[in-house]
Amino acid sequence: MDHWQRETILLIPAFNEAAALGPLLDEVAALYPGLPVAVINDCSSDDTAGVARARGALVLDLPCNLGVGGAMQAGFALAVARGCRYALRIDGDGQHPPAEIPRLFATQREMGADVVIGSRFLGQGAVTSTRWRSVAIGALARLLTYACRQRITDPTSGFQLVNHHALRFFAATYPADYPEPESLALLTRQGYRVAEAPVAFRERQAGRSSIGRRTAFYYALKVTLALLVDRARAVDARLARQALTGDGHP
Amino acid sequence: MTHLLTILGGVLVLVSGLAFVALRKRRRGLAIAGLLLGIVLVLFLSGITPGLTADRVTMELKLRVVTGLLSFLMLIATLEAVRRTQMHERYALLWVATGLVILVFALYPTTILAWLQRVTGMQYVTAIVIVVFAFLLLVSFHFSIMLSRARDDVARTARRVALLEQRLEALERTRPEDPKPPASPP
Repeated sequence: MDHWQRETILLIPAFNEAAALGPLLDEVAALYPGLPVAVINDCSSDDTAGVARARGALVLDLPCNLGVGGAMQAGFALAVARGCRYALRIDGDGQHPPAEIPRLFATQREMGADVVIGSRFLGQGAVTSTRWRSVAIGALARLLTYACRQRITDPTSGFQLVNHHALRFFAATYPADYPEPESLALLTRQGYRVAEAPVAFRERQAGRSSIGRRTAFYYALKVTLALLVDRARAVDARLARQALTGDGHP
Repeated sequence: MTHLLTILGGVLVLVSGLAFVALRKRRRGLAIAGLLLGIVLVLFLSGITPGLTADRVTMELKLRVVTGLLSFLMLIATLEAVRRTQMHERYALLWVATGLVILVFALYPTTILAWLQRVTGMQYVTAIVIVVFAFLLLVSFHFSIMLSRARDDVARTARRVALLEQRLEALERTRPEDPKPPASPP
């Protein structure tokens, strides 16, 4: 057991993922036997919570559907309450292979980053996505590269490693729905360091994507509006990286 | 001509006042909004200025200015509310759409409204009122649905909290020797 497993919690937001979650949890348990796992059940109508409990995972059972953002914020709050040094996030559909987790830690150590994003576009792994989706993600990546003033290749990736500084920020402030792109802009604005690690994704193992054709339109509008308005917002000094880490701050 | 000058003067006063307030309070967002307002109003007015005489400053033109200002107020208020985190983007989108539609009607009344007038036989004023009314109806309908959903969520959460408290009390009664756990952060 590597040393990081003791101070890390693996957060898995899941909405109706009973089919894919079982094999995923088994895979995680086989690879990292000591790693605590928390499944945040976002008010699923299937047996997501039961599947998770049967495999010994912690379950945060949300009484109403909060969306990925609200679910993840509950997970971040749990990680802060448990005093975790790192929180990992992978999606419940199994598209993020748990075997790639060490790559995120390697990048974290190398770059000294507060948040590491697993990017499927950084390496030369097989990218499986529909054409429209790649175009939209490409446009979003350019927008975020501008907003963050650093290269972002996979802004919608939910494969993330968050350290305790960023955890405290996320537990206080996290976008409500479709949080991934906006959270990156918020992080860099607050002075946190973001890095990307090349990671190979898989096909989702079962279930259905939460982003269909109609919601994709809303996704694009919502994220664009949020990114634009974020630029006009003042930096929240209480939650800036400096304030939480004590770097050069009175 | 005097009418136009009055309108222009009013706009100038408005924009400069806004810019002044924004600069004094060092509010960058408001300053940018005021600047945008000024630019678009100038564009809007310059588009209708050529060959304009006093007799052509009609009721319709005044109405366009009023609706244009209305839409701008709506857009600025919405964006400012989002910026202050008083409003979620989800709800802002409908307001932004409403503001933009009203703006389009103020900027290009002939193209869209001519069609609407031909189909329904309504005058410009009536058409504007109907369109604005329809959008406000849409917004309030949307809110009724969202409010009902939020009400359901609150009820479900309250039930869950009540059940959890009951379970916790039962647990504490069976094992009173256990030390009390530290209070969890909010």
